[in-house]
Parts: sequence; C-alpha cells; structure tokens
Amino acid sequence: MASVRLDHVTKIFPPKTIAVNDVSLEIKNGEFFILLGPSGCGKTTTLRMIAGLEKPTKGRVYIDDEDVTDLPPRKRDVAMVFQTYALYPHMKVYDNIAFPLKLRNMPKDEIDRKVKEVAKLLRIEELLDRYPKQLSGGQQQRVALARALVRHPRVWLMDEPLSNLDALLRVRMRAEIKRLQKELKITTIYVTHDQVEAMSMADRIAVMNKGRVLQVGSPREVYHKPKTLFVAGFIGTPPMNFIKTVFTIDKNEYVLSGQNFKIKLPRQLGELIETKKGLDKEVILGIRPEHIEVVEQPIEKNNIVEAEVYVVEPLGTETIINIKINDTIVKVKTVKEILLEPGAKIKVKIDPNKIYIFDPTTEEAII
Amino acid sequence: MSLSEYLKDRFLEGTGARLLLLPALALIAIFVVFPVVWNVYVSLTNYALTGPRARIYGFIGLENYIRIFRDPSFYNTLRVSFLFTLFSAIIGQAFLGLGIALALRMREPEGILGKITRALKITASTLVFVAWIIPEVVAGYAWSAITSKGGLVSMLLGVNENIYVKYPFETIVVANVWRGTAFSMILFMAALEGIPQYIYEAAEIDGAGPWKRFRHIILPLISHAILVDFILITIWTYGVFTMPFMIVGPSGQGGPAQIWTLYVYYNAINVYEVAYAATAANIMFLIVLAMIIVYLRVMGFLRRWW
Repeated sequence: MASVRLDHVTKIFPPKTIAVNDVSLEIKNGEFFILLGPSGCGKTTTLRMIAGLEKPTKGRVYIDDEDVTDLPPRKRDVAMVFQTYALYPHMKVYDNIAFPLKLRNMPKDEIDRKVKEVAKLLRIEELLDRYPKQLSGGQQQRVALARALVRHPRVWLMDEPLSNLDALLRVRMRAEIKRLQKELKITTIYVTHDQVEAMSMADRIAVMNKGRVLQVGSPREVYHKPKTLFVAGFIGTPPMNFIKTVFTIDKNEYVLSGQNFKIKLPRQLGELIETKKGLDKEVILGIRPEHIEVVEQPIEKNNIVEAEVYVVEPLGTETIINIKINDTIVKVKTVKEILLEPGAKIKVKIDPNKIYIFDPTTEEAII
Repeated sequence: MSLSEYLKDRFLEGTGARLLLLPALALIAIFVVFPVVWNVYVSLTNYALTGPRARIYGFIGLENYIRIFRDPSFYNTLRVSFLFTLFSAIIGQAFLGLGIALALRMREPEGILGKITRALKITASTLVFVAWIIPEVVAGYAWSAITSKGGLVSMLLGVNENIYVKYPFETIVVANVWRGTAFSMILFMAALEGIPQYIYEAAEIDGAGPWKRFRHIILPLISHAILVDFILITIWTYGVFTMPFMIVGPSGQGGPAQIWTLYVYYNAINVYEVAYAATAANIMFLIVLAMIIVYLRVMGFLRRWW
C-alpha cells in the first residue's frame, strides 16, 4: 500500500506530440483513483509513466515519497491489469498467477498457498489447470486480476480492464473490482473513458483532456460542481445541455435571455454572476437533462421555454426526449410516460436553481 | 446450358483436367523422378565417366555399397558434413539470426544515441539481406578472393597464406553462416513480431528482467519457430554445394572440408567413378529423406499443440 505523486509530469512523443502536459496529482494511500477522459487524452500514458513503461520527458514520479522516475517497472513493486489482459499464452492459469512470485524466488509451497488463496478470492479455483485460450473473456479478466493481486503490490494499476467485456459482465465486474479494492485496501489507479464506470467506482476522479488534468474531485464534486464546460459535458448520461444566452436585467430582475425565452434568476445568483462576469454579457447556460421538465399546462409563466420535439428515445424506466429550442438540440430526461410525436410543440420548464453558467471564451464555470 | 457447354464442363472436370496436368508431370518425371531412379540403377553398376567402363558396364549388385562402407574417406565426409551443418547452420545461422532479430527489436533510446542505434539496425539488417540475395557463384568467388593470400582476411589475421587452404573447414563454415543468416533472422523477426508488446510489458511489470523475459516469455513463445528454423536450415545446409566448391574446390579425397556434395563431385568428376558417386549420393538422399520425415512429423505435432 502506498501513495503516488506526480510532480509536473510531461510526456512528449517525438517529434512533438504532447501526450501529457504538466500533470500533477496526488493519490492517497488506499484510494481508488480514476483517470477519466476521452481517447487520446493522455490518461493511459499517465498510467504507463506510473508503471515505468514510459519515461516522463519532464517531471518526477514518486511512490511513497520515493522518487521512482528512473526505476524500471520491476523495481517499482506495482502491478498492472491490461485492457487485453496480457496473459502468457504458453502458461496455464496457475503458472500465470504464480509467475510474479516465481520471479521473486519464493519457496514452492508458499507460492502454491498464495496462488490458491487468490484463486479462491476471485473464484477461479477450477480454472487453474487451463490455458488462457480456453477461458472466456470474463474468466481471463479474473486471472489477470489474480496475477496482479497475488504479490500484494504497493500500487494496483488498471488500464481499461473492463472495456473488452460485454455490457452485462462489465456491470458485474465493476462491482467486484470495487469490492476487492475496498477489502484489500490497495491503492488503485484506474484508467477509463467510461464516465459511468468512473462515477460508480472511484473515490476520486481526475478528468483529463488533451494531456491536461481539468479537475480532480470526488464523483459528487465533478458531477455537481464541474469546473469547465468540458467536464460538465463529459460527465452524466446523457450529457449536460448547453444553450447560448445573454445575462442581463429585465424589469428589475436578473435574467438569462435566449432567442425566445427568459429564465429568471434568484437575486443572489444574479448578483454573483454580475460581480464575476458583469451585465449584458454572453454566457453559456448549462442544464442537465434531468433538470428540465415537460409541462403540459404551465401554472406560472416564468422559466418556460417553448420547444419542438425532435426525436424520442424510450429506455424503459426513463425516456430521453430530444427537443429543439431554436436551433439547439436539447435532451430532456423524464421518468414520466409521455407520448409525443416528432414535430409536436411542447413547453418545458428549466429549474433556475439547477443551472450552470459558463464563460463562452474561457469555457470555465462562472457558478 | 447447352449440350456442348455441358460436355465442355465435364471434360474440364475429368479427363481434360488431368490432361492439363500432364506437361507439369512430364517435367517433374524427367527432371526429378528419372534422375533419382537412374541414380539408384547406376549405383548398382560399375559405370565410369571415361575409359572402357564408360562404354561397357554391367550390373555388380551391392558391391559399391560394400566398398563405400569400407572407405575411410566416406566416414570423413559424414563427419565433416555433420560438423559443417552443426556449426554453420545450427550454431552459426540460427543463433546469429536470433541474436540479430532480438537486437533489431530492441527499444531505441531517445536523442542522438537512438539515431545511432537506428542507423546501426538498418545497416546490419541490410548487410545480412545483401549476403542472402547475391548470386551464390559471385559470393563464392568473393570469399575465395578475400581469403586468398594477400586478401582482406589474411591481412586482418596477419597470416601470409591462403586462408582457404590453411583453414578450409573454418572458411566454408564462416562463409555459409554469412550467407544463410538472413533466413533465420527473418523467421525469428516474424516470430517475435507475433508476440504482442503488452506481453513483454506485463512480464516487465511482473518483475522479469531482460534475461528472465527472454527465458520465460520469448523463448517458449518462439519455440515452434526455432524448431522449424533448425529443421529447414539443417536440410538446406546439408545440401549446400556451390559456395564451398567455389572456395575450396573438390577439396581432395578425405580432406578436412570435404562435405558430401564435394565428395560426390570429386568421385564423379575428378576420378570418374560415377557409379561410386551415385552410391554416395543415394546414401545422402536417404539421410535427407529421414530428416524430412522428422520435419513433417514435428510440424504435425506442433500443429496439434499450437
């Protein structure tokens, strides 16, 4: 068990691809830490630098305050689960799991005891005598986890370990990995592009894009208090809606004014935006699909937006309605059973207490 | 389908198809089957290249075979052929080929050192390829030139003699290694390419250093390629003639570099004993045949296991 610290780490692949750009992170002992971002954002390269498979161009990597930047992977005492599992095809499951222990010249009976212990933990005892190619994807994945666990590494690294599994198995393994991690309290750094995975498993998440860390925080924090437009748009299914508006004062009240709608803001909120951004400025209104409500007969006139139904996606327990507000497609999530045809005119209500405001030029959150 | 079309189809499927194979079969019969059969026949006679036995020769049964098994120079040839194959094919080509293939896969460091490494890699692999594609006679002539008195090798070694006379066996071994390494190198490069990068990385993280990665991961995963390589280059090296002939000539009866192809040549052309040479060739044919059977067996075995 250990803590991991990245200190201004940069990785440039020659000639000049900047994969990771000045990343500093601190991962606490026993924490389940997730690097989340779209493909090509540098999350895997970051993980590989912690593993020692890539050497940072600049910056240092510390494990337990020990500078490991120049150490090869085998001297870092970390274990890694690869997206492709990377089982040794010529070894039986038993030998795959025992391999890291054999390399450490552990006595045979101790190896045997440890392999069987971890096999029991991962419920693969009956597979020990098989070759990797005789296993299903889910079983191979368990073997890869077992091999990473068996020697009680200081840090557990996982590079999209679930992305090659089918949807059902993925959900099951998600819970299983989380349970294992909590049980064994091994510091874990986990890479994924799947924000649902990140939200459901992580203690803390670092959202990355274009080689930079945009925000670090608990799942609740990154969900409820996104610092940038990118983080807000990346987390949540379906993602947050963005609508261009102007922040202004109308009839002595703060409003966000769109092409044919006005959203009245609570006084405090308006004052805050005014001090931070100023009046009569263009801002981006962010609202999550679950915070837009379809109203059939509006009681009040405030915060009602007229829209046209674009397409309806029923998902069983909930329905996603894509609506057009002027030229912007906005997704609305509702649990109500609503029968709507594309092209129908409807009214929706935006809850002003649930909105986010972003600066259109810096893309940073104003509130 | 009209009747004529139907008949044409039937013709091409049956008799016609077989007729089309005839020219190829005829060529194989004339140039492959007939010499083998004729060789067996000749070995049972006292046929010679010149002299009276060239015109009038007769069936003498197994006399040639009895004679050859009493000939010390034949045993010398067996021994030289075995050592030549062992040193130039297994130890030379295969090990060097594997070494170069592994070196070519090595990760290049960053900066100027990486550029030098890359340049070295390209140069090395190009040289190995060139050795492989030069015509054999040209290569043989070049080797005899650089190993002759005053040639490059004698100068480097500081020996003012014909190297190919003083060290004929060593010369043909080195020349054959030089020529044949490319095949093993390519085979091993392909085999190494077949091991995904992440397997190496997993081993590295699991705690394996370079030697243990080679011993526990690379070696078992390319073992089938090694076996195939051993068998193929053994068979090929066993039948090599042109380069050694260009370098050391027929190499005298019982000479230290007289591999069996040179032995056959010597007996047939230099001392005109064609029937005797045919006998030697037949015995060698059986040895190669045995090797091919082993090869096919092993391949079948591997196909079942991999």
